[in-house]
Amino acid sequence: MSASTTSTNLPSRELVIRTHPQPAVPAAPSKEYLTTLSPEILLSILEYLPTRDVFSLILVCKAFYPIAHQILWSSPLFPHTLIPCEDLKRRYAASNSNPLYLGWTFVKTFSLWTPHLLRDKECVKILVELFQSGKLEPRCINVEEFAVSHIEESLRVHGQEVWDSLMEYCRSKPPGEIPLYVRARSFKIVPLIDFQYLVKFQLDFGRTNPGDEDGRIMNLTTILNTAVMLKDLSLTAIRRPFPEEDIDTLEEESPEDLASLQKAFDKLSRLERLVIGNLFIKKSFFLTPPSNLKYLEIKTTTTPSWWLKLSRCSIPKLETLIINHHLTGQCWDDRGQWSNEKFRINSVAITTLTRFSGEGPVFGTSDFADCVLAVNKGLNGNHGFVSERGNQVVPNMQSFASVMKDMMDNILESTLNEYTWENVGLLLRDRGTNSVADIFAQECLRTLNEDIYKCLSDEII
Amino acid sequence: MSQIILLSSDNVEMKVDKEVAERSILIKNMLEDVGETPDQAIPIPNVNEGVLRKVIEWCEHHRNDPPPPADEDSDSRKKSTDIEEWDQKFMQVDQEMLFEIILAANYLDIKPLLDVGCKTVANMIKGKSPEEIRKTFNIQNDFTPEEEDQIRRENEWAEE
Repeated sequence: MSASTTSTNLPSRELVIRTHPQPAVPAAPSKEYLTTLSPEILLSILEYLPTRDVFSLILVCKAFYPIAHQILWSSPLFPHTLIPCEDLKRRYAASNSNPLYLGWTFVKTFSLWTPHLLRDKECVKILVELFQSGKLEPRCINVEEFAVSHIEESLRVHGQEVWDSLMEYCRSKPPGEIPLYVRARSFKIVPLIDFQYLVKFQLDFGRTNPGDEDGRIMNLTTILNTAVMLKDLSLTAIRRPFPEEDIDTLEEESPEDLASLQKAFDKLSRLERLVIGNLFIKKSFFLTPPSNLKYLEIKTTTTPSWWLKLSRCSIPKLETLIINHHLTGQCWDDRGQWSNEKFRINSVAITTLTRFSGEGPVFGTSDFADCVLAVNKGLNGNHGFVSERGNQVVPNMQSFASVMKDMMDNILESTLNEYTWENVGLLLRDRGTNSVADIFAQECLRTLNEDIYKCLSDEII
Repeated sequence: MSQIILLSSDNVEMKVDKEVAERSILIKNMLEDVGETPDQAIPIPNVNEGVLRKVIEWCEHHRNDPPPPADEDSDSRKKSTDIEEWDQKFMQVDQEMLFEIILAANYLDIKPLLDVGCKTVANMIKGKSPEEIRKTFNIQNDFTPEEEDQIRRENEWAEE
């Protein structure tokens, strides 16, 4: 059977048009097909519907009731766009109309994003009751530090009550069972939280000032030492740092503090995702990423020796690497100490990438990128790297291989005997690839030689 | 291009490019287990000729589609019900066929086709009152007025 029925003058498949309720199927069917679908398929249909439509469906017939009911109630408790107090009060009133009602148990996610809930006495009472009575059993808790720490002094006691019942709820479960996601803008949250339950932590600083006004490194070390369940860590300063000329006047972080932070890092055996942005902008800064990391994103000032250190870190499960060097035009250059010779393909310990992207200065980064590309076979072109030279994207393996092939074809055409590294290497350099690419090409040639000579000799025979 | 033969539940054989048939993860896995392209027809016991032809038509059209992206956060957002135009036309069939396609896509494990089917049904539900939904799908209301009232009260917070 062929697709001949599909005429070729149909519009391109890229064209996506919005479909709103349309009379696609006019006549009512003779049978109840919809109710015969399995719960799994029904669930996938319901996932496309807004709450209002699920509410209509719940009233249609008994067959839809259990699944529509579950979908309706499992919607996250207070996504920040809604007016959370009203939502909570309405749900509470509804559940109170039936003492045997199980709706609360379907709530999967509880989010505390704004201080509103904690300012409303009635909401506080409801929340504490729901947690203490065990009616509300979310599988995941999201907390915004702002919602807890930025409450007027007079109301703080209510906030504390909710916070306490939340923590108690976490403690009643085995560690790690209830993922706790926290987003904080300061260390004010430190005394409030039991970091043992922390799974995802996002710390957004207002400033990058390394003056450490709030004991940044020590606080961080304290948190990380307790957060044994941590899977996802993001440490970002929002604002760009300071005038470039000040860079050299920055005080270095104390080596002892950095060493204890590194120790805390090393213990994060569950950490899979790490993002660092605009922090620790000092020459000495380098943290060896925890060894089980799958995702690493760094947006900060880097130096060539920094790249060299990273290339030698063994992160055997790393799949994604994203690096953005900030402060273009200036970096602390250990240019003097730098030479391309320091990079060798076989010295790159990161070999499991499936995604790689970023940008950075010429020194160090291009060679780093080349090396990473050469040893990460899983990338399959899934990468892009821009250096200061101006949107230079490192060639991927395939284009590189095809350049090589063309070149070899040319050489082989002119003279068979001159197919050697000396010739090909020169040509490669003429085409602007850098020294690391040369090394890579050399290694390719070594393995290719045998095959090509074999082909040639076959042909000659 | 190697071809394989599929056998519908009503014993009709259909020759299909292997690549097309492999849009079905069920068939793909089956072929991988066998190792080589089988000479004999592969029985698809749950799908009749008409539906199987329709499913193959879809697979032919989408033979070169890239694999769907793995969506990790799929349950945190409401999904879009946009359907590309070809698929919309393809799904303009009577309800019996529509649900047969959904069941076949589910059985044969063709996730993108199942998604299109589910979106089509979702679009048929969108914006309708319970009574209109019953009419569209010919469903009997089996709630007593008291039950209906109870459900309404329990879930009214969701009614915007």
